Amino acid sequence: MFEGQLQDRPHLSEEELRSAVKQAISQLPAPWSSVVTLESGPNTIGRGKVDWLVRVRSGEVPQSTKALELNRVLSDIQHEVERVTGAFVTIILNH
Amino acid sequence: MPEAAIQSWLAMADDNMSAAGELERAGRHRSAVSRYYYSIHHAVHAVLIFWERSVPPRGNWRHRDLPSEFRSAVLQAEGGRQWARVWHEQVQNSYNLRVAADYKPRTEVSQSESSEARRYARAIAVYVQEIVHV
Repeated sequence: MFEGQLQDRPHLSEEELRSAVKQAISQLPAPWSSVVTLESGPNTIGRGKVDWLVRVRSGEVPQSTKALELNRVLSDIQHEVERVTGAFVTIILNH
Repeated sequence: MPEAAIQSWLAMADDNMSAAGELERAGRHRSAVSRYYYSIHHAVHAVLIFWERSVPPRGNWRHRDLPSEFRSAVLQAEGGRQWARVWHEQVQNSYNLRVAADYKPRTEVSQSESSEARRYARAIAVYVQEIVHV
């Protein structure tokens, strides 16, 4: 749970953000730490009106029984990245 | 296809998303969570109409019916089978957060809930934008 006040950080560098996301993914329990990836393509990180938008990819097809778990994993990544950067960052699945 | 209706729903979804972001920045998390939900509600209406689902006579789907209606529609869409349950969960979770924010004063609604609601709203907005072309 993030307890502090997030900030609008439009000048946050993409590298800083990318590093925080990769770190958050590495902290996930198995198998998610190796299933979820952040690709290096140009559309994976973008600046929106509200936040930074980061698209991650799941190497495993989300079976119906995994829907809840997948949502929790994305939530865990986002909370950790927001805690580290202090910025509004939204993590979504690149489908 | 009723393009005007679709564009109206999309415009309302976008307006709610912007408002939610402003409320979240201001630390008004109950209101932010509520607006993020309505952004989803409106975006889902746009895509359901785009897919030519039969709109209820009252002009919109009931909140409690929307997650299942969306899931059914996604299941029938190309490549939608693996995503239907995920989207259903996100709409339902967002609605649950909104009910807590609007009607349960004893339930804490903080930055954490705003972040969660934002994630659902942004994910569905991106999905809908990729589908709806009017």
